[in-house]
This record gives sequence, C-alpha cells and structure tokens, in this order.
Amino acid sequence: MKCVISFNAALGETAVSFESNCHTDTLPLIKSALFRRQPVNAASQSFALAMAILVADYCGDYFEAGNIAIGADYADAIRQVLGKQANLTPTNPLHRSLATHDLEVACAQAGEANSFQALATEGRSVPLSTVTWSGDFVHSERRNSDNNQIGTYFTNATLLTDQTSLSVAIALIHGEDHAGRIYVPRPEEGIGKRHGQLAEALQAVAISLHYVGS
Amino acid sequence: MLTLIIPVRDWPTDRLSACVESFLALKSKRLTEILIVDFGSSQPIRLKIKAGIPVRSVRLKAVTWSLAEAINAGVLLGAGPVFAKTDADILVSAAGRAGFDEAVDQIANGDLGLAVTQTVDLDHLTSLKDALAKATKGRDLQGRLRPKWGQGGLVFFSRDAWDRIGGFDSRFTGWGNEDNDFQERIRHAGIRFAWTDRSKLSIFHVWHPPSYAKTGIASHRQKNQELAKSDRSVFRSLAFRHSNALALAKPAVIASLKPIVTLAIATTGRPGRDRMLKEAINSFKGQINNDVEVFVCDNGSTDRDFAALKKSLGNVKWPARLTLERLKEGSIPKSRNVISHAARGRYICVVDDDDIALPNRLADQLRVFEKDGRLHGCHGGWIDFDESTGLIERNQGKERSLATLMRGTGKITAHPTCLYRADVMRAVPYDEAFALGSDLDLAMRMAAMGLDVAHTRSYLVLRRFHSANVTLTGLSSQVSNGLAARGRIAAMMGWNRQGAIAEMAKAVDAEVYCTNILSMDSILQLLPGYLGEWQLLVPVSAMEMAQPAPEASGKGRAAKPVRSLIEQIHSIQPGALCMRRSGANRAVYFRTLPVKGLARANALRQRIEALLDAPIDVLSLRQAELDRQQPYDWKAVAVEQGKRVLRSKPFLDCADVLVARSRLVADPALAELTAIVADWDGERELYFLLTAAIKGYDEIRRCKLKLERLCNTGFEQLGNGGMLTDVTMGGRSH
Repeated sequence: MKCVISFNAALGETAVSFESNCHTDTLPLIKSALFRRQPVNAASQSFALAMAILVADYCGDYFEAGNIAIGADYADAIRQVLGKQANLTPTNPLHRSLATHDLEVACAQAGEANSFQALATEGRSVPLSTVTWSGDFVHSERRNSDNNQIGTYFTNATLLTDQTSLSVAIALIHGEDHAGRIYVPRPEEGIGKRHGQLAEALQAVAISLHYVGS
Repeated sequence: MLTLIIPVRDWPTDRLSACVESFLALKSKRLTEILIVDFGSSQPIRLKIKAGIPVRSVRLKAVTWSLAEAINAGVLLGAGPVFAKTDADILVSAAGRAGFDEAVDQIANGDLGLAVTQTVDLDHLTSLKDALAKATKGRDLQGRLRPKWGQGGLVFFSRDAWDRIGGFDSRFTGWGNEDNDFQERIRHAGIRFAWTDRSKLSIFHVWHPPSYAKTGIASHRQKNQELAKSDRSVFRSLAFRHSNALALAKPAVIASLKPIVTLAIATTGRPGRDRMLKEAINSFKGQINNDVEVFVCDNGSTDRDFAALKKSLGNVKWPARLTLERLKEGSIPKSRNVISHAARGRYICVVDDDDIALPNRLADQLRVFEKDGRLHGCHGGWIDFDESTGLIERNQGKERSLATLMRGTGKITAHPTCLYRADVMRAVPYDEAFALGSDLDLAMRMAAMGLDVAHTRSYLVLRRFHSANVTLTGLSSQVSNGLAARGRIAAMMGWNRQGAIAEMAKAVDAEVYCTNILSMDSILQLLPGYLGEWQLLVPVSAMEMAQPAPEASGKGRAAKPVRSLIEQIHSIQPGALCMRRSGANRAVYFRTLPVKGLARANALRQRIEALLDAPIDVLSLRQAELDRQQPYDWKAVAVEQGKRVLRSKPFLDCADVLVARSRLVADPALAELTAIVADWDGERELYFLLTAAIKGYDEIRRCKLKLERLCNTGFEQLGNGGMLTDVTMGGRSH
C-alpha cells in the first residue's frame, strides 16, 4: 500500500491517499484518509506508524509511507503492526530514533474522554495532552447523531479501522515523535490479539500503550 | 467444508483422473467433495475412481465454453461453504496437506476471502504418469514457477466472498482473464486476499499440447482482455448466460443468490400511495434483466393503509423478491436504514414511492461504476412533473462535492436519483435524528467523509409533484433541517474555512450536461395515462402540407380544404386558432380545449395525426399557459426619427386577425409590410397587425388610411420604444 500525503491549505485538510502498489493489497472503502481541524506533521515517523495502523487490514507485501524515511526501529514497529514481513519504503536503516518522551498523550473519541479524569490527578514529569477525534456525526450502529461531539481532529478514518486503533493512530499523529506514553480507552470487547499486538509494536519505538478504564 | 470444483469441457479423461487422484492423495479432512463441472462436453465424462469422499460429475448443457460460468455453476451446485477451484491439468503435491488445510481454515474463519496458490509449470519431458506418481508421494517436481500475477491453478474462496461481488463474470468466454478479473474485484471490494505459503503447498501444471488453435480460444482471449480492461466495476450481476446451471440448482440455493440492486422504497400512507408505488416499482420492470429485489418499508401508516398496501403489492408479480417491512413509527430515515441493513443487493437504489424511473436508469448507473470501480455512488438528472397540471421541468443536476452542497446555488442532486454501494449505506447511515431532510444531510456527510458520488450524465427519474408531496407538506421542516445539517458540517470544517468553500463552490457550480435529451413526446410516453390536463396543438402549416399543392390559378382552393380540416379537427375536439407564444409572425396553431388525462389526450392526438398524416404537439395546460403568458416587448420596437410603425387595435381572436391580414392581399406592398403580433395583457391573449417602419408624414397617413379601410379596424402610430406618438409635419411646414 502506498500512502500519498497532500495538504489543502484553503481547507486546512491533510489527505492521505491509498494507492495499491502490489497485487496483495486490499483496497479500503475510502480512497483517502482525511484529517481536518488541526495541522498534522506528515513528516514524522510516528505519522508513518499511524498510517500503518490505519491500513493494517489492507496492506499487502509493500508499505510506502509518502516521503517519510522510516528508521530501523519504526520499521520494526510498522512490520509488527502489519502482522507480516512487509517490505517498507523509503527506509533509512541507519536512522535510529525512538520516542523522545517529552509528552504523554491521552486520546479518545470525542465524548468518551471521561475515562481520562483519573489521569489528570496523577503526578508526572512531562505534560499530558488530551486529544479527541470525531468522524461521521451519525453513529453507525445507533444510526443517530444525538449527543454527537466534534473532536480536536475530524477524520474519516473511522471507515478504516476500529475505534481503539484509531485513537492510538491519532495519538501518534498528535504526539509526533515525542509521546512516550499513550492512553486510550479500553476496548469494550476487551484487549484482544489485535490490540495486544499493537501495544507490543509500539514498544519497539519506546512508546508504552495503556488501556484506561474498566 | 470444502468443495473442490474442476471445470472441464472436452478434456482427456486421463488428465482429469490424475488431477482428482492427486487431490485425493492429500487426504485432507477439509476436502469433503470433488465436483467436476462438465460444461457441455460432446461426450459424458466417466471416471473410475474409488474415493472416500463424493466425487461427482455434473453435466451441463452449454453451447459456448465459459470457464467463468462453469466455476459459478460449481459454486451453485456444490455444498461449500468453502470452495477451491483447480484446473484439470493441475496436480497437487501430497506433501501440501498442511498448507492446503491452512488455506481452507483461513477462508472458513473469514481471515481471507481468497487464497491463491502459485503454480509450477512442468516441461514436456515430464509425463503425466511420472508427475502423478511423484506428486501423490509428495516428492518434488522440477519445473518453472509462474510469476505471482493474477490467479494460479488452485484458488480457495468463500461462498460469501464469491456472492458479495457477483461471482466470476460469465461474459468471459473460453478461458483467460476471468481469474484475474475475479481477483481484482475481490481486492477492490475490500476482501482480504493472499498467496498460499509455497513452502507448504505446491501445485504442478502438467504439460500438454497448446489448445489455442484447436478450440479457437484465441478469439475468446482477445475479447476477454478487452472486457477486463474496459470494465472496472467491482460488483457484477451473477448471470448464467451459457448453460442450464440454474435449472439444476436447488430452489433454496437460487433464492439465496444476491441480486445486484435493491430498490429501496420508504413509504407512508397518503392519498394515492398504492397507485403511485405500483407505478414506481413497475417503472423498473425489464431494466438490467430484472436482476433486482424490491424492498418496501412502510412507516407510520394506519393498519388500514398498511393492509391496502400489502394487497396492492401482492399484485406486483415481476420482481423475483419483494419484501415488505413495517415500522409503527413514522420516520423516513429509519425506514431507509432498515432497508440498508436488510438489503441483499450489492447496490442500493434510492426510490421514492411516487417517482417513475426512466428506462435507462439502472443501466446508466451501473455503467458509471465500469469506469471507476472505487466510486461509492452515483446520481443523475431528473425531470419534475406535476401530477395535476402535467407541467414538466428538466433538472440536469451538478457535480456533488462538499463545496457545492454547502455553498452551491441549488439543484445539485435529487435523492431519488441516487444509487450507492450497499456497504457504503451501512457505514454511513441516514441520521434518524432528522424527521425530514435526512437526504441532504446524508449527501453532505458522504462528501465530508470523502466518499465519491459521480454524475451519470443522464436523466434518470421522473419526479412527481402532487398535493401530498413531502417536499411541499414538510417544506419548513426541510429548510430548518437543511440549515442544521450545513451548520454542523461548517463547524466540522472550521468556520474560518467558509470563504474557501464558497470559492470552491463557484468553480464547480455549473450544470452537468445530460446526454439523453428527452423530447416532450418521449416523456409523455412514460407518464401515467390519468395524469394532468392537456391541450393539443395542431400547426396550421401541417394542415397546408396535408393538402395537394394549390394550382397556380386557384389559390383560394387551398384555403377551403384547410378550413375543412380545421372543422374536422374541431369535431374531434373543439378549439380555436392561436399563436403559442408572444412575438411577431409566430406559427399559427389550432389549439384544442383542455383534455383531462394523458391517455385521452394521446388518443385524440392519434386521431388527428391520422387525419393530417403529420405530427402534432401535446402540451400540458399549465405549460401552454406559461408559454403564452409572456407579454410582447413593445419597448423593443426600434423606430428611427421621422418614421413610425402602425399598430392595429387589438383583436381578441386569432382567427379575426388572420382574416384582417388576408384582406391585405388587395395591396401586396402593404401586405408585405404587415406582420401579426401576439401579445398578452395579463389576462388575455391579444393579436395586432403591425407594419414595418414607414417614413414620412404623408406616407404614414396614406398607409394608415388604407389599412383601416381594408382591415376595418383602427390603427395607431408607434414611435421608438413602442411609444404612442403621431408623427407631425416638419416645423417649417407648420
């Protein structure tokens, strides 16, 4: 899967188009993931990792992350996220970098950030940034927009992956390469294989993923 | 669990036997059935194989060889739910059981929709006997590995994945490209696909003399390549074009097959509902070979209305499947969501219960997906018609984008012209918080979510206006909901982006050109017979054409027959002479009195056309009124200084002005100067005789006198801009 990143300055919209670059790609419902309301640093390796999380169900044998040179550690994390020995490009194996731990990020869908209240009272040496995201106004199961809230980021990536994975991806985008800890709400169905693998993958770049709430 | 399909046609039995034996040698417990689909071989296949599992051969009647349809037939007739298809010249290594079982399990668990095995081509020195001996013992065979492109000789797929995209496309005949096409569509549908692990599962293609020339397959392959290139759509109709496979399938299996389109109709009890709904459904009859299901969801109707609806729909026989659901609550978006979730079609066609689809609708909409299989939906132009007056208005629609929907100048899209992928409708449902206006909200949310909805470049629907129309009865609610829907999109984009959105809207706000320009006659053929009030307009020129050419010596002889024809037409339906629109020297028509109902109007029209042997016009009463209720622009009369035009007193009857005009034959020069002008004074049609500009005081007076004497009516002088002003003699002369 090839991710082509573009920015529309007039609309303040970052778009990541998904183009197939091998026959084992599966094409998602949407042609591109959109991020609105907030600027996005599309040059950070965390952004490439976030894209890998979004396309994990669709990516075939090759993952291309725009012009982001992926270092060896992030390459490990991306391969784990993709769940296979995918070929990555462009890469710079000599580039070794991990999260700088200047920040902690708590991320949830707008309206569901209540689970982070306990985090605010904890002592910490670096700031905690709470960020929310929202997608379609209408909940696809409730089929109703009642109590809908607009998040810090608007994205259509809800059509790509589950809510928890999307929260992790948005946290990576927001924290760039600085977030050492990421907090997301615990999935309703429990932490399954998928989310367990996600936590392991993030450890490869020194990010610890915490599922918050009961 | 797994049915292995081997499609064949006139294939040597020894190769087929070897293939079957190699798969039996796998001893996989997942393999529960081997189904040989004999697609119209000249001789029946007889295999002598002892196996622990059923090895069946199904013989189909088929004239044209289509590997694609043979596989589809295998799925139809096999047990499944996981299927594998192999070619009859393939051998599988007995050592591949683990890989084989792994692939079947991945398909069965839903981890994959399609798994493909890479093939090794054996050379011509390896005999079938040797190859089979080695393969069944799990020994390696040397050969050339085919590249990982398209499909291989052994593919695994689930019945669900096959059904979701409409199976293999039986328009592919012979063999070639049907497999690549299937794989491309699978991955474009978002269904996971993978190559099986070659270290665990090996298959071998046994060499045989090329069959191209013998079977004339080359021409099939060329056609197949063109088809694969030209059609990019993902979801296709599952059609059995070449064989009798459907006749052999169990009724339950046939009933479970998905149609390509679900006609989604949300309806509620209101006057004339049952009649209009039947017309709406029947307007789709015959489109795309009736590969549709009809899903009607009634919401908020009384028990009596629902019972009447049920009875009425019972009389609609043509759709293979018609489902009627009921919601007690009156909610259009809820009804539509119910349909989206229960629909079996690969696309959902939005149908309003009072609209009429044009015959091209579904074909045009599916054709859009052939160009871009990743589209999420399409919409098109629509033609409004008023049930009581028959007034017709064409709307071409515009490109749908977030900018045009937010800040465009309107008439961008009509919800009942839309057709969406079913998975899109489930992912982005209607907002049930909106009682009305959820359609506009859906369009804007789809645009906000980055979903592409293209224009078909054609008119698709006749949209009915009637007294119980939701657009009319719930107008204020629709407007306020529209504002709310726009407001939240604006909030999502950021209010500081509104200027940019407005600029983008301006750039793409032009109407789209619809190529299927429908004449009035064509539209009238599609409207119900009871509809509207109509007037027949018979051009007098057609009556003149209907007569033998007048002889040079007797011009008056031609007029008599025209009069006679008018009298005959008058006896069919009374009327009067007129001009349709304001203006000078407009064509003269015989306009009948209003006729109630289009069917009656058409019957009268046929009688008059038979009389004249020429076409005549049928126009809705309202349209005829609108046409003639345009005043003549007297201000546009341009007269130079010193000149005047002469205008008669108004005639209230077109026939009178024609008679007056005919009297000018006595003065050909004056006749040449004089035209008939039709006008509208706000209440009535008026007709005038109007001359060209005449120069000079004396000449104007002379012409005026002569005109008044010949026409037996008064004339007045008009100056520039249509001002009533008499020319005077020059100052010196006074």
